[in-house]
Amino acid sequence: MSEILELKNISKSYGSTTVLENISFKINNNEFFTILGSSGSGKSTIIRMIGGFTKPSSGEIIFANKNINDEPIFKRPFNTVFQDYALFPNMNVFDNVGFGLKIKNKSKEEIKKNVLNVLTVVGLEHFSNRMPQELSGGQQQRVALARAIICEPEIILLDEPLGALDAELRKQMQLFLKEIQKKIQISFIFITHDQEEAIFLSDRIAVLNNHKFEQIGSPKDLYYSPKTTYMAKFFGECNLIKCRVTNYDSESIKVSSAFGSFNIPKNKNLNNESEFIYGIRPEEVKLVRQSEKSIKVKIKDINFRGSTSTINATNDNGDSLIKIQNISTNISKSLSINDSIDIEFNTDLGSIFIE
Amino acid sequence: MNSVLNYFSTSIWTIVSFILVIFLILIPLFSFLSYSFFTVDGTDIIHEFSLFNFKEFFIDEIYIRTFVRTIFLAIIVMSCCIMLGYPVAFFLARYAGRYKYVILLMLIIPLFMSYIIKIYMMRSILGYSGLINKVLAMMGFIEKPLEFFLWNQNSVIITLVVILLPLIIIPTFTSLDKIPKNIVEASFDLGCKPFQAFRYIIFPISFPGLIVGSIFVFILALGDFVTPQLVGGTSGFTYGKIIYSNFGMAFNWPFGAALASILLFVSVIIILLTNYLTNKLRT
Repeated sequence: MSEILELKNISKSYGSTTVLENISFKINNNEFFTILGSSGSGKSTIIRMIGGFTKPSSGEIIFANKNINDEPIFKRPFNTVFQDYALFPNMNVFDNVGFGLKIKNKSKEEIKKNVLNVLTVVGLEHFSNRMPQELSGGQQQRVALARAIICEPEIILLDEPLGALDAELRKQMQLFLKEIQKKIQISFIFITHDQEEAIFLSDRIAVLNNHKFEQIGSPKDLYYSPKTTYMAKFFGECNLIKCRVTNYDSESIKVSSAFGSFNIPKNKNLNNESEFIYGIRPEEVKLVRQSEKSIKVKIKDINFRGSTSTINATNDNGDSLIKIQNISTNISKSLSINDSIDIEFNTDLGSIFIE
Repeated sequence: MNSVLNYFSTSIWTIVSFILVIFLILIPLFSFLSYSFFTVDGTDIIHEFSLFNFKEFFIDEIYIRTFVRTIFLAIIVMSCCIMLGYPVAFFLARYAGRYKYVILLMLIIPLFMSYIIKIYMMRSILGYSGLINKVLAMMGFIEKPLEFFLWNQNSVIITLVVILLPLIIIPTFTSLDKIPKNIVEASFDLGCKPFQAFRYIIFPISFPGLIVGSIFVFILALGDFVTPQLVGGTSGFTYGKIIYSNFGMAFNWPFGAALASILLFVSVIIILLTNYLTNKLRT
């Protein structure tokens, strides 16, 4: 895999309002890259800068080893799929899709051949004479995508393209986007605020929080090795427990916490007496028979949901809470509030956050 | 019961609107048309069917010549309005930012003023001792007042353009203003240089608004008789003025009605033709 685009230390502010701070990332060939962030987090600004609609306040956008900060929009080899499609209302589907080629002075036959080709790819071959206003949201979205694909850009920028669609259609379009990206082999930079969507679609995800990237990585990376407590809570749930190292030896580390002490595998970032936050997902907390490794907690409430039932439990003082998932039905049937149970952490999958 | 009442209340409004249309538009129009088939004897109107007035129009070539000249005048006024109005509407819609509606309002205000006052105002600007001549004389560019501006065809054109300009700016502005920003951005994104974005996207989308404004201006310029009367002098003899003189001075209502019917007919033809051409252009 080779890199095609790099953003280096990009910052953007409007007056005294900072929108983005020190954003850096690289885009690989044929990659589905998602920028995930809540609304107003500046994620659209990132692709608007790549597309050339706004200029970064500082930093460099590098494409094919060349700084393209000052390249005008129409010279950049990227195409954008806009949030509300932005189809040309004065042209039918065929002309909308063929517009990019027409501007590049391609011959009529070539335009016709390509447009019909691309319309087949997006499944709209029978709609070429319709006006955009006569299409449904999902169909308009496909036209917008076709209009971008046909120019054979190096990267397609998608600015929350599924935001305006209803849930059912959204699912369909997600599947469609994923398939089409594999088929046409063009890098996608996709913007969304929907976690599930991001996980489903992306090769890599960049999570934007507070004007900065919290973490960039594959969905698995982000789930299994979160780098910050924010990330740990961002995807799924995570118990965060304040701990202190009490005994550091070559084999394992003994730590103490509000729930008592337990052992974690060796970690070179820790030393004796160091304090840290231990993150463990609810599904990695197991109910066990009492043993010397187990921790005793008291059930506070049981959230019965069949196979995905969860238990909230507290320590003896009742001042710390822990969530437990994946309880065998056999056991959960017999449990009731205020029962004492024994738990153990699957410490291979815990995360350590040093503040 | 309720639905019956509902039915009646809707149908009552339908009937009322039909009555309004019949009494206020169709009957006057019909009586006006029927007058064009009457003749006059001295000051008496002879209520008998005759095509005399229409024959007269085609026989005496002054009428057709004036008519054709007036159409040309209207075309010139319309073209000037397009050339001046479109750029104004364009810059207003795209570059005036948050002041655009204030500026638009200032452009609309003259529409509320009396038409006659505006013409007199133009007279005082264009006249021999008007603003333009005074200023030019003061700056020493001319020794005696220029006659270019008053009592001729030019003054009629200038005055009509000034008066009718808002009518072309408003619909054009509206159609330009509602073009979403991201549609223009999309055209850049697909490789358009600024001029191409204008040529393929902005202008075609604003075109229907421009056409509406142009038709307004054309029809009003075609039928106008006050402007030529007040600033046109002897050479400002337009078709509208002939109609006016037949009603107001010659007391030949039937002939005036015939001339007006011809004007109405031609106007309707022009509107239909433009409509047809615009639709054809779009597909």
